[in-house]
Amino acid sequence: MLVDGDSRLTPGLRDHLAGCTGCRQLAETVASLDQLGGQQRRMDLSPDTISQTRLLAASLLAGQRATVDRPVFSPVSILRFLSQPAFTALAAASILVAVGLLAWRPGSAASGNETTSMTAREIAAIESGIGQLAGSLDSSLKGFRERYREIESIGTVEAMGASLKADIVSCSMDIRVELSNSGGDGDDRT
Amino acid sequence: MKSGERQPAEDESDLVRRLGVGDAAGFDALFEKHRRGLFAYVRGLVGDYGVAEEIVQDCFLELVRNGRRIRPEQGAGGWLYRVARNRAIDVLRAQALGPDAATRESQDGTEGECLAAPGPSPDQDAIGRESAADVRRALEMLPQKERDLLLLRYFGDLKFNEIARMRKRPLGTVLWQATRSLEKIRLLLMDKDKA
Repeated sequence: MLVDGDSRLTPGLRDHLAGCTGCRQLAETVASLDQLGGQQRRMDLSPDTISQTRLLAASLLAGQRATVDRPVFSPVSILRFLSQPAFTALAAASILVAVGLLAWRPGSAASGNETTSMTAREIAAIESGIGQLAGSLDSSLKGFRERYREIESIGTVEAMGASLKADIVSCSMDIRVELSNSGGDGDDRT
Repeated sequence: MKSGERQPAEDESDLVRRLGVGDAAGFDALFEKHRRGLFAYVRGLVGDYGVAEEIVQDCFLELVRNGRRIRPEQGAGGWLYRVARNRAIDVLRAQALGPDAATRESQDGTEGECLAAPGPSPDQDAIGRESAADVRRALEMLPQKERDLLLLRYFGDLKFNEIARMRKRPLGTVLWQATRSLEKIRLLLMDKDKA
């Protein structure tokens, strides 16, 4: 009998099982299930399935490691981006706009105060430049968000960086053109 | 330690952590440790060797995909058995809804959620072909939740406290349920002996 041969039984329990049919049958049931389960666990997946599973897992893990090794936004990538000429141009344009804003005093032009060096055209150009800068940045941000969603799936920071750079170059160029068109030729003073 | 013998879940935390950072050796160790128990458990649920193989493979690949989300201190065992159980139930439901379900039920006298007919196995040497078949039949007659518990314990070789953690039930409840299920099997086997 399965139960009699079970080394886990204490002498006291063995005595009890000898005299109690219900408990003995229950112990036999457990022993049968235990043995059946043990025999089932000796069976294994086929060798083909084992090697295939290992290969598939290794491939998945390699993919995960590649993603881990390629952070979307590392400090280095941000610094690299900030040091690009396009960003410098954008910063320069922003400084120009800021200087223009500081130089502009409301009412000075209307009062005909000659102490200001800015013409109405210059002021209009700066205002236009600011509007354009805001619009361009807004569209750049929208594009950035869209591209961020893309790179989440394909993981190419470089592609996103190049595209964003193009947007910023375009934006700063527009502002510079606007500023250069604004003249400074002394005409149209109010 | 014998091949295929399980270690406590606590020992798995390092393996799960390694799997989470993409370490193939971590996966190999978990695969080696759990695949036989998981296979025995799934075979107990679905019966068919090929289907069980597919489910087990699927579970381990899912483990790789979700390795980072598993809390290392919980180990991978409970997670694997939970996924396996869900997959097996999906398969059994699909089989029950399939075009040949009615024929199958009338042939084996079981409902869709019950154990599928088991395939050949080498379990007859020790407890005898007839006895193994009787125990299997008795298992098949239990309600699904009760059968699942016994399969987790005796086929999957999970400890009762692991099953309790997996089912989010107190250990006492799980032990009481197991005793009740064993008692049912005992009565079924007795009835068979009387017949």
